Amino acid sequence: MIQLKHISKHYPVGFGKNEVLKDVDLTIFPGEFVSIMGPSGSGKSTLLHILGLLEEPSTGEYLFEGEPVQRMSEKKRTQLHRGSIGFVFQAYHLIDELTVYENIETPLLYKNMPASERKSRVADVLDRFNMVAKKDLFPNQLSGGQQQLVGIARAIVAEPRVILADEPTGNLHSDQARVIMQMFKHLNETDKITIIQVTHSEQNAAFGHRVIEIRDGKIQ
Amino acid sequence: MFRNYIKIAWRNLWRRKLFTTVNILGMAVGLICVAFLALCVQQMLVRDKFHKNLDRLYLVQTDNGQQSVYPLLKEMLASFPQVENGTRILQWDAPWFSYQDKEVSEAITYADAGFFKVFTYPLKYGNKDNALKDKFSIVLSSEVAHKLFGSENPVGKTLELSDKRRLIVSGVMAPIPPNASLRPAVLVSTENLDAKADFKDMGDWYNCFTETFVLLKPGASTATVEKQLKGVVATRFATGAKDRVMSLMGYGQFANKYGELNIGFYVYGLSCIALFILIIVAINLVNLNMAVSLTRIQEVGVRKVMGAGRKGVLLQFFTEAGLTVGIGCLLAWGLAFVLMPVLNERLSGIQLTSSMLYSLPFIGGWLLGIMLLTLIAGGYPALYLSAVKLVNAMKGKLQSAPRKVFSQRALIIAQFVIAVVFITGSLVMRQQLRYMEEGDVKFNKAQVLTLRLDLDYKDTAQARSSINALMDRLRQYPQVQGLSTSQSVPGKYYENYNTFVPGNDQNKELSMRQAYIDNGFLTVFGVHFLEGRNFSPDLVTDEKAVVINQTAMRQLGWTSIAGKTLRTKGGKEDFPVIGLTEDYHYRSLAGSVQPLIHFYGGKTAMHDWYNYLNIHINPKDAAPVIAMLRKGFENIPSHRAFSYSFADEIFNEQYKRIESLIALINYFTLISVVIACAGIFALVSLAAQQRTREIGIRKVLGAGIVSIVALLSKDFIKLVGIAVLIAAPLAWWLMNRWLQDFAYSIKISWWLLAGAGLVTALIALFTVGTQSLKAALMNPVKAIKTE
Repeated sequence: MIQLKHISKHYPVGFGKNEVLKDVDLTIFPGEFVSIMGPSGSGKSTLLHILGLLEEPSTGEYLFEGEPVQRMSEKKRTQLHRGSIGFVFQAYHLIDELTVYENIETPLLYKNMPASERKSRVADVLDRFNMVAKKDLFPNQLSGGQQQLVGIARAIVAEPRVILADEPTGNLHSDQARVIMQMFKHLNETDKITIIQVTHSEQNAAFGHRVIEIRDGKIQ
Repeated sequence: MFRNYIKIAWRNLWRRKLFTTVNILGMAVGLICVAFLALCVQQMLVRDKFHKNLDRLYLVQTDNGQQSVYPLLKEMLASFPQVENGTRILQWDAPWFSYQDKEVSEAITYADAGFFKVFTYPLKYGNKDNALKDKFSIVLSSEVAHKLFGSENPVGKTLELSDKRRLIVSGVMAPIPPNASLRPAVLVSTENLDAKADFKDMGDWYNCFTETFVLLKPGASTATVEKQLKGVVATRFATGAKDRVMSLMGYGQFANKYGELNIGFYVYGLSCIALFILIIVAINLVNLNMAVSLTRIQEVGVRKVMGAGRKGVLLQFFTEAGLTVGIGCLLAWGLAFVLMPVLNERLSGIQLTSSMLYSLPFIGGWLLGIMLLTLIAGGYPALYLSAVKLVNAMKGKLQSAPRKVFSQRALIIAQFVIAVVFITGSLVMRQQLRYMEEGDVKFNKAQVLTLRLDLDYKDTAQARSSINALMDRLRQYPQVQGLSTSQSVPGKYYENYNTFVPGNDQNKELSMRQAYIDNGFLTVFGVHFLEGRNFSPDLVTDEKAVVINQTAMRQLGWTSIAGKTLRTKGGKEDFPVIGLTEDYHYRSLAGSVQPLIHFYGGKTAMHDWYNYLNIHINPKDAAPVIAMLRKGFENIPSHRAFSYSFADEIFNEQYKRIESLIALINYFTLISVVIACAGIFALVSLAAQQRTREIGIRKVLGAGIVSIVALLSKDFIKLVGIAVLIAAPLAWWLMNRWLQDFAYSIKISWWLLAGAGLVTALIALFTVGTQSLKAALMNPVKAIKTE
């Protein structure tokens, strides 16, 4: 599903450069639940950003479902964001001005989905996440855990094939974290969604199939 | 999708209520100005354009003005083959018209039968082919018809005039469009004027008092007509008028050349001002939108990650800008209806109507404006934000924080320069006005009660005896210290000049303003005599005597009036100069005192040529006297009502134009301050938002509120300071130029400029301070957490 070949990433710093990723090779298969782990500054977030097409690698090749990402147009990338990739963030990043319902609906709007189908999809997801009663609340009226559930609901509503999660439980206490991780596991097992998460926690990593250790920009 | 954009835009605006209000109000204020200026310009551009035959319609002008001799038109109609039709226009008298119990006084516009063929003034009632055909016809404007007849059709009804003429209504004009230069109230045939006893022999080939308009045949050449006119001047004009040059001027130029306003200048000037305001509004809008947008960079990131794409982000920002602009424009449009009467009161020479606000071109322009402003206001932030790198956007990072942009700073300075100039202007004008109102006019301004005597009495002889009896009663009152009747009073002297030469030296000549007074006038008004004496009713010789002022004596080159006489230029009769008065200000202090000559019009009594009765009395004691007079005048039938005022009120009426100018300047001051503050408000909010984290950290490190307010405000206050420094000399220079037109003017003191600067700085400080204080009072934990 995802194939990275000799990927490096560096930023200019003064006259030199700061190498964040060094010659990374990585293959992730459809249906996998992968956890990327490593200490602060090891490059795991950068790796996730590259996987999510938020950043471009300095060198190397990235194939998403067999297609080279470097050669994709801006439009094609937007298409991938609309349909294939879902994001979950540590800080949730819900849109404050929108209700729970509207936040979840937004990706479908960008997909130009007809109103009736949109409605049923959002209703479906709300139902599945037990949030029907909260659909008209605004993000600041919810707890952190609830906000992250909305974040996940929003990420999966467009039925992506892969979810990228950047420390999804970093701002949550352990009970809430467990609920979120169980949700991921469930999505992975029943919906066959590929999940790639960055995490610090061994417990969270244990929900997945495979752990990728990264240290000083290199996969161990 | 679009509904979603609108929804979010609306919620965003609602969430930042204060910000939105300032943004929209600033814009609305600017746009109202632009709308009104645009309408004024448009009205000027379409001036008189409604006349169907405009391209063939000409004014016959002479080398010294728009008026020509009275018999010219008849000659042209009779012997000029290229002239299709024509009409003269002149005013001669303003009688009272009455129908049953209603009456109005209007100046009659005399015109020829061709009037309605030459000009395009449609008739509501009557037939334009014969409306002015006969001597006894009268055509009314719709206003006059309404006053006399209400809504009924008055054609065929007979009007009684106060000079005993009887005229039959032959037509009523439809309301005259606001862009017409000629706005006759009532039209009567020139044949009627020809028959008037007091007009006979005036219409000669010498006197120029008639406007002559001609309609040339299609394809006619003006050169040929002008050549023929030359011939008429040579053969028909009176001796002494043979050197006149007549020419044709297209009627389209009429308003520009002879109207109240110099249209070309105003069209250009007002367009520039409108454009200038529009630019300021647009820049403010960009700054304000930018300020809001930058706080939403993370949202942009999230949306892009969800697949919004660049187009989606652009569309969203344009929708939001469009909504703001739309609301602002709608508000401006609504307010324009409310403010239009206020504006019309202050306009002269041009009138706007509400219907112009929903005319198709105006709405079209308005919609175009909304689109343009939306593009400008939404464009910059949209392009900037949609181009921000995704990963940076997600982190809420700006690639380059536009904190100190030159254009922004230049804009702030420019806006505040304008504000300071306006505030200074307003202060200087007010001070000058007060100076003139309170200045020493060298006559008794405070204690003279003045009554109008020209009330159009129904029975003049009876009125005369009644008023003379009233004056006898007045003399019985101990409060009344003196009485006078006069042709004019200070502040209302006629523009009546004549050229005089000394009786013994006819090479010297001096143009002097002349007026008739009685023996009491100079005493009642407390004018000082420097030499000689006042008129005396006991000396028969005083009927031919004159009193002059000091300036007149000086300009005649005399040092004393002893034994001096004056005669009118070309006259035979010598008038002995019996008195010399101090230079009292018979006109406003805006001008210097000009040479003045008083003739004796007979002793204190009611005469036809005396328009005023002046009573020397302390205003505190005036109430019973006024009550007595009011009662006395009630028994004298007249068209006009009894009216009185004190000399200072009459005198200060001369300053009305300055007062309305000050009012106008005050509006501009308010507008410039509001717009400037809206701009600075946006930028300080932007700065506070961009530096939220810095402020939080500083607070955690122990910075006090004052230091944080200073941190945020000081940049802006510095800019305002620069603006004040630029504006002060500019305002000083501008206002000194304005003051040069006054004979007696104030000196602009440094504290006035300092005051204007201080006021501006305080307003700016308040605007910036409140926003900074809000930032400074924020919980630092919240601030740091936002990253």
